[in-house]
Amino acid sequence: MAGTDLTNNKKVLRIDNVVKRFGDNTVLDHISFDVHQHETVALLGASGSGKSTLMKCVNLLEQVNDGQIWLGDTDITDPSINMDKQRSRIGVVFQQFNLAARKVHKWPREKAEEKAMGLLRRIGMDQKAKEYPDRLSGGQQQRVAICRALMMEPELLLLDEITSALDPLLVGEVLEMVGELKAQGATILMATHEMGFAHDAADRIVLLRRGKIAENGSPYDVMDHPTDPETQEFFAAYNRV
Amino acid sequence: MAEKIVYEVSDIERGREEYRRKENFRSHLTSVVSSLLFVALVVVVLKNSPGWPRVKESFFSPEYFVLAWPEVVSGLFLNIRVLCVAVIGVAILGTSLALIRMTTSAVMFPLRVVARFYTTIMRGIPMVVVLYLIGFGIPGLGLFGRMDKAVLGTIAVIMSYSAYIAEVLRAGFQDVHPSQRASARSLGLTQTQTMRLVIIPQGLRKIAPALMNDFISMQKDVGLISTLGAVDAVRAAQIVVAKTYNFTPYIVASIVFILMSVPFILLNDWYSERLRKREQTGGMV
Ligand SMILES: Nc1ncnc2c1ncn2[C@@H]1O[C@H](COP(=O)(O)OP(=O)(O)OP(=O)(O)O)[C@@H](O)[C@H]1O
Ligand SMILES: [Mg+2]
Repeated sequence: MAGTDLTNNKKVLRIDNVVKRFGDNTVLDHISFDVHQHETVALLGASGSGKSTLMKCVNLLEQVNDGQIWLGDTDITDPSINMDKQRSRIGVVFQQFNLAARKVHKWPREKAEEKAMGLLRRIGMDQKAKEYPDRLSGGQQQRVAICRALMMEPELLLLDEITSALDPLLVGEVLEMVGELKAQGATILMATHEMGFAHDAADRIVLLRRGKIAENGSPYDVMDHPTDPETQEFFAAYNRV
Repeated sequence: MAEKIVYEVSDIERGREEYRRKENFRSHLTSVVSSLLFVALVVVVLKNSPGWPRVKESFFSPEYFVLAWPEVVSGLFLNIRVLCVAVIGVAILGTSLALIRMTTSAVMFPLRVVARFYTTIMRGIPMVVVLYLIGFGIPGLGLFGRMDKAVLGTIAVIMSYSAYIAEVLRAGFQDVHPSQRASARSLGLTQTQTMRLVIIPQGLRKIAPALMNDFISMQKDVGLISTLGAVDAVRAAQIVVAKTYNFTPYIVASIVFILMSVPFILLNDWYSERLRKREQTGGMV
C-alpha cells in the first residue's frame, strides 16, 4: 500500500507558494505541494526546517505572509472566511500541549459519547474515559489526542511528531494506530523523525530544507534512491544513528 | 542597525492586506459612529429634561469649580499620603497573610486558621463599616489617647485591602504549575531558592494585572477616610458644598481622583497587553 501513486485523486490540501517569516527569519520560502485524498504524505526535514510551522499555517494557528492554502475548494488563507469552521475540517495532533487539563470525555450528547467510547475502546482506553489527562501516560495521552482529532470526522489529519515523547513500545502502538487510519482511507499529512515509519507508511515524501522543498516523491525515489547529494547525506545521517 | 528588509509581495497577499485594512477601518468607523450616536443621545436627553438648567447650575457651575479647586487639591495631598503609607502596609500584611496561608507545617496550624478566618471575614465586611469600626472603635478603647483620623483611616484601609491582596498573592503562587517546582528542585535549587527564583517571579507576573487593579481601586477608596472626618479631597469638597449649597465641588473631587488614577489605569492596560503578547507568541488562535 505504501508508496502508492494517488496523485490522480482529488486534492484535499493544496499548498501554493506559501511564505512564512518570523521577523527576518524566512522559515517557509514559496512552498508548494498537494495532498490528495486517501494519501499519506510524510513531511521530513532537519529540526527547525519548518515542519511544525507549515502545519500551524494549515491549521490557521499562524498567518501566512504570502501564498495560499486550499482545503478542498476553499482558500483558507482568505481573511473573510470563518476560521473556526475551516479548522473543524482538519484533525490535529501536535508534538505537545495536546490536552487541556480537563476530563477526557467532555461530550455531553449521547451520540458523541457513544462515538468517543467506541474510539477509546479501540485503543484500549475506555477504562480511563473519566480520568484527567494529567494522570495519563504520554502514550495514552497521545492516543487519546488522536481519538479527539478523529471525533470531528476530519477531511484531513495533521500529525506533528506524535511519537517524539514516547518509548519504543508505545511508538509502535501509536504508529500502528496511524497505519490503521490510513488503511481506512484517512488523508494524512504528518511530520516525523521516524524514518522507517515514514518509509513504510507514506505514499509520498516531502523533504524541507532551508525553507524550500528539496524533494517531493515516492519513498522509493526519495529515500532509497536519492540523487541529490545533500538528500543522500540527510538520510545517511539518520541511518548512522 | 540592520536595515529593514522589504519583501516582494504577491497580488494575493496584497489583496488580503487590503481586505484586513478595510475590515480594520470599518470596525474603527463603526465604533466612532456608535460612540458619536451615544453621546448625541445623552446630550439630547439631558438638554430636553425639564430639570437640566437647575442640575447644570448646581453641578457644573464654572465659578464654584474655580472656588473649590484649590481646596480639593490640597485635600488630595492627604489622600496621596494615606495611599503611600497604605500601599506599604498592605504589601507587608498581605504578603505575610499569604505566606502564612501557604505554609504546610503542623506547627503553623493555628496561625493558618487565624489567617484564613481574617481573610474570609475582612473580605465580607463593607469598607465603610471597617472604617467605622476602626475609626470609632479604637479611640473608644481609650488605650492610645487621641489618634489622628487619617491614621485610623489608613489602618482601616490596610486591614481591608490586605485580605484581598493576600488572596490574590496566594492564588498566583499556587497557580504556578507543580512541574516548575519539581524542575527547579531537580536542578538542585533549595526550597528557598526555588521560591525566590522560580515560583515568585512567575506568580507575580501572572497576578501583576490583578494587583494593579486592586491598587487602582484602593486609590479611590482612600477617599472614604472622609467619613471619619479627616480633611481629604472628598471632605474638602463636602465643606465647600455645605458653605455654598452647590454640588460642583463633588465634580471637582471626581475629576482629581480620575486624574490621579488614569496614569495607573493606562499603565495597567499597557502591561497586561504586553504580558498577553508575550505569553502567546506566535499563537493567534
Ligand atoms: N513563534 C515563533 N516565533 C519565532 N520563530 C519561530 C516561532 N516558531 C518557530 N520559529 C522558528 O521557525 C523555525 C522552524 O521551526 P519549526 O518548529 O517549524 O521546526 P520543525 O521543523 O518543526 O523542527 P522540529 O523537527 O525540531 O520539530 C525555527 O527556526 C524556529 O526557531
Ligand atoms: Mg516541529
